[in-house]
Amino acid sequence: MLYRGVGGAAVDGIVAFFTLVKRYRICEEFVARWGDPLGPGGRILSITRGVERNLQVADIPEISRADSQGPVGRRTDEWSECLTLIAANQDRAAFTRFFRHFAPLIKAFALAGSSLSATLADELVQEVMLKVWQKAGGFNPEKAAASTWVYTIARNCRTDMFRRLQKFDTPLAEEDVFPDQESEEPFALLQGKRTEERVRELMKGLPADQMQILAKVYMEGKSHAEAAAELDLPLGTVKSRVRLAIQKLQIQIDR
Amino acid sequence: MAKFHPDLDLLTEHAAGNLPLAQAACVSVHMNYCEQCQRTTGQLQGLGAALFESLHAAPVGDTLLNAVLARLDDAPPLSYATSPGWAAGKTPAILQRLMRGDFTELVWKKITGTLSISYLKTGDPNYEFALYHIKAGGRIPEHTHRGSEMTLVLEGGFSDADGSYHQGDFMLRRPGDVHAPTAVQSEDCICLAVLDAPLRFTGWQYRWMNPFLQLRAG
Ligand SMILES: [Zn+2]
Repeated sequence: MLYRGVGGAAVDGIVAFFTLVKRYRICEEFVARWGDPLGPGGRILSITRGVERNLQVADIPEISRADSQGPVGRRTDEWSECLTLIAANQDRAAFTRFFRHFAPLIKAFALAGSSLSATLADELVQEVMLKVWQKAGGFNPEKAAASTWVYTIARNCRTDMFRRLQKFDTPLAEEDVFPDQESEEPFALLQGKRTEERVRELMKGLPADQMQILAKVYMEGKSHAEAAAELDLPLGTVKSRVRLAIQKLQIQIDR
Repeated sequence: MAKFHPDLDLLTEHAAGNLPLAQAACVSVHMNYCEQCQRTTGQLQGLGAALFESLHAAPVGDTLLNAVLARLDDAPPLSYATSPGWAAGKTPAILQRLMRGDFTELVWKKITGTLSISYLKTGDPNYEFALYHIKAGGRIPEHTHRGSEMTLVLEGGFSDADGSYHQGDFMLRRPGDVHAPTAVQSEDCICLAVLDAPLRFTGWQYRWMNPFLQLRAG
């Protein structure tokens, strides 16, 4: 298992180095010759990522790989790769692997706060996974982790399902409310992805009372006011705990 | 570039998918003009994803997997060559969908000499979602809010006692806030307003209209 950590650190180091190279334009010539090392299809990154993948995939039994949390970033790469295969070849084996990992999380998300019955939860899993199949071509591994991409689809489908159950007659789908952003410049993309990884790391250090409220708001889909009522807390306390958590996760609010 | 933004509480509720449809649509329109809020929302979604990944997995059997596999042929992959996405400057896609045309093709209801309103249908049963057209230099009579009001400037601009607002600027008024917005002199102003209770005019000339100002939700 040791080399997995070492591999991850090495890739982080290499990415950081080329980020600096790019930022300060140290090696224009290098970029001219080899292409943008960090851009889509950038050689350096794909080479290092490839090494990392080989290290990761080789000799690790199927089950432990699927279940292990592993160091940040690597598991994400496996699922990104699945999505790429689905998009490129309509690869059913990749889809099946992806399903086995994410369907149980989607189901748990559907059941969080016991908002949906088991039958509806299964229906949501089907809907989300069909969207995954259809939309895999729109996934950009440079921009976000596969899990973030799946989470937003699950969130949108769940909201749409709630509205259907409440018999909303609306021309809007939640996808209209959260349209795909146009591609940004590569440096900003990379930064966004780094931020996601940092959030994942820092989340481990959040106090229980803040985690509890974040889970209510994000996983159970409760508004701040509903969370306050359920936990028998003043609304101000709920809001300040959420803000405090966001601050600790170093999410930037640039204005 | 927008100067007035939804606050962090609102952005968090938005990223978590918890805002009522009409309000979520309004915040979404603001993002069309605001890269900063797009970025923050992206990070707040990353937080959602981190929580999602750490859920206790609920068992899913092979029956469900096979059911999905059997449906794949009926769900052809989408093409992403011409995804419209966000584009500053154009009428936001979500509004285009609700309007089915441009501002001139809407049905405008004249309220005063300078103010007309066009109601759009979002399907949200609790919120009115409307476009306000104020003629250049025109004033909306002083009014107060019985509920919350989100306002977003789409074209032109207006000012009130608290400041001046231009394309993309977002405001949230709470119950009891009183103001009398005046459109800029140079051009007509079009705003999006999302209300959960009707306005109430405070001046004696317009007070008689209050009983007729009903919420047009839905
Ligand atoms: Zn903003």
